[in-house]
Amino acid sequence: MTRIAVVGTGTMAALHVEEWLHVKGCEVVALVGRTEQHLSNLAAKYHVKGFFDLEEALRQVEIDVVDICVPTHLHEEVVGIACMAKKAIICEKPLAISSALAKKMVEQCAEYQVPLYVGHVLRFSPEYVEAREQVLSGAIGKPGIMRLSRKGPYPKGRDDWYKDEAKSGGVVLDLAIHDIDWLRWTFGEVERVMAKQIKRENLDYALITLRFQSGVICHLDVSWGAKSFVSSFELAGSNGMITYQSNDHVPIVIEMFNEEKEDQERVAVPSYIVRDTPLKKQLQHFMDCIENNESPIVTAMDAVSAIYVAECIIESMKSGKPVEFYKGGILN
Amino acid sequence: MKIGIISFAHMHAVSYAEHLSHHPDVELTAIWDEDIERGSKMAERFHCKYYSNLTSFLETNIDAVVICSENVNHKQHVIEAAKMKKHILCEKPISTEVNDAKEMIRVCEEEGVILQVAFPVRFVPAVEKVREVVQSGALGEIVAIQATNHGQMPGGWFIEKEKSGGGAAVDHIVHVMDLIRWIKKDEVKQVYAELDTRFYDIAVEDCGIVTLELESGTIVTIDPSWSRPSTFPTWGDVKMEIVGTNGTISLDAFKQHLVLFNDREKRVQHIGWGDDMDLGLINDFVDCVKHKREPSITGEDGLRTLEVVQAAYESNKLKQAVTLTRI
Repeated sequence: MTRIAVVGTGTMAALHVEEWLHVKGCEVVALVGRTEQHLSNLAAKYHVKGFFDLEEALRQVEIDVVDICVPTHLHEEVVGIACMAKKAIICEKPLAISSALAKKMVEQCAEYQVPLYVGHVLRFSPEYVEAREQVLSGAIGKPGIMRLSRKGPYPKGRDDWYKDEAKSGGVVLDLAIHDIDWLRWTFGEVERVMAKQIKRENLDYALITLRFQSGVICHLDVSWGAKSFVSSFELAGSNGMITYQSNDHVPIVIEMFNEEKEDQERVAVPSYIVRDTPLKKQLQHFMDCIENNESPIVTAMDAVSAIYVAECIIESMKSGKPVEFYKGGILN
Repeated sequence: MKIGIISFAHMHAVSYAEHLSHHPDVELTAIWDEDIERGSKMAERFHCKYYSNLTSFLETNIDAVVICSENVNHKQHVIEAAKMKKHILCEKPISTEVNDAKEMIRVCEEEGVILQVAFPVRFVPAVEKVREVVQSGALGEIVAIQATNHGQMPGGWFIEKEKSGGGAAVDHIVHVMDLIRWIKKDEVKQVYAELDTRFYDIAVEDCGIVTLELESGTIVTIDPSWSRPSTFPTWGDVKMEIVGTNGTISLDAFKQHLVLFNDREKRVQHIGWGDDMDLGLINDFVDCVKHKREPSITGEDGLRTLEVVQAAYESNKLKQAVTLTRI
């Protein structure tokens, strides 16, 4: 039985704790959080022991894996503690607030011989996995131009940490990073980016053009400020096109008459119905990697590279100019 | 009112001719076409006279002309028609060169004839509605727009640069650019473009993304790609997402369609049932000529969109953002 400590008590931590229940051969043995109420609520719900800091948990409980679900700017500190304790690390994306910092963390993990797994969950999302396989198998011919979109409500983290770019990196580093990783996974390295951003109260919106070394052109738009979550892609090539829009593929729609009546039981169905959630598949994959000492399909350096692309996008948004990726530099 | 058509090189001419021939105030009397066979066939179909000589065509007593020749010939045809005092509806793009467009506008002004550019998408009722909503201020300050005008690869002279002036960028930037200017009452400040030929073995670009910043600071992208596969259920699309500080409005201009699962042609097809935008354009032009009023889509509208196309080519070449200079 692999013993896991989940660090964090926010939305992502709660999702992780829930999914760990479904992953074979492991058990969450410690929950670490700073806010007493959130910590005790989550700990009580899952019958797990709660701790105010990771070092204390490591002293009191036998732990094999540290699963980091705290805000981005706090990743470094937790990774450092887990490294010293020689524990395998799973960390939510983005790995760090900058590629330089992320690279330092990767190096630290290598130095302490601690495996580091970064959760880029699209690599485990069946619609994105299938689309990639279709593209690689030649279903659309020579890849031409791609349009990807990801929008959601403005995230409400504790103390509004998402609003602080120094903590979250904003919509590009936190949200676009999903598509950036998938794009690199599918189309290889980026050559040049051009991007524009609009920031207002409760709106963070970016229009991004990426040109890949292979010549593929990609338009990516991301938004914090949409009413509900929606993601989509359109992958066009010389012999065909694949399209997906998350709202168009909801297998069940329930409409209750008189739903306003209080005595009627509410029937809620999820819109995304799969046997194993992408998050569960991701955690299971990392577990298998730890057990068999294998390298994951998304390496820690992939996570660093995605952050680097995001940084170039942010630089372009600031300068109003396209940003060329240079050979060498931070990634080598 | 008598109207003639200059060339059926652009397939829109057929639709315009249909609407002209059904208009109660219009008599479609003459067709000129460089291609004798195409011209005579159309003249027969629309019960009017075919001219193989442009001067003889322009010497007839027509009041106005609709020009649907190849892009590169717009200049010559507009100027010759204007000098014969004919009012003009010119297919988009107004021209292939900014300086030519300016000369066309100047000559039409001097001759006192109407020059209207064919941006029919303005006449889609849903587009009019979007403009109304945006201009009402209900969405707050408009901060971002992403638009697409996708299409299938048209082939023919559209992919011969010496006739079309370019590929997908020439063909498809101008429609949505015109809508953005019309809806937003704004002009373009900065242009960046990634253009490429990735779908077909042709000598012009077939895809790309254009990034703009408007004078107001609104950020915009336009996707003019000929990226619709041949099995796509329709020719293409005009879509816009307009983001304001109070809300977002999304437009799919040709969403009003039936879906036909066509076993005979082994494909799925969209059959539009919305109002015919070409009819709206023709009615507007005829009304404009009739009342001698300022056209609703001016030569300058054509010029401004062409400036963006030209800047997109320049940017793509330089791999730099280009600041637009309007003269």
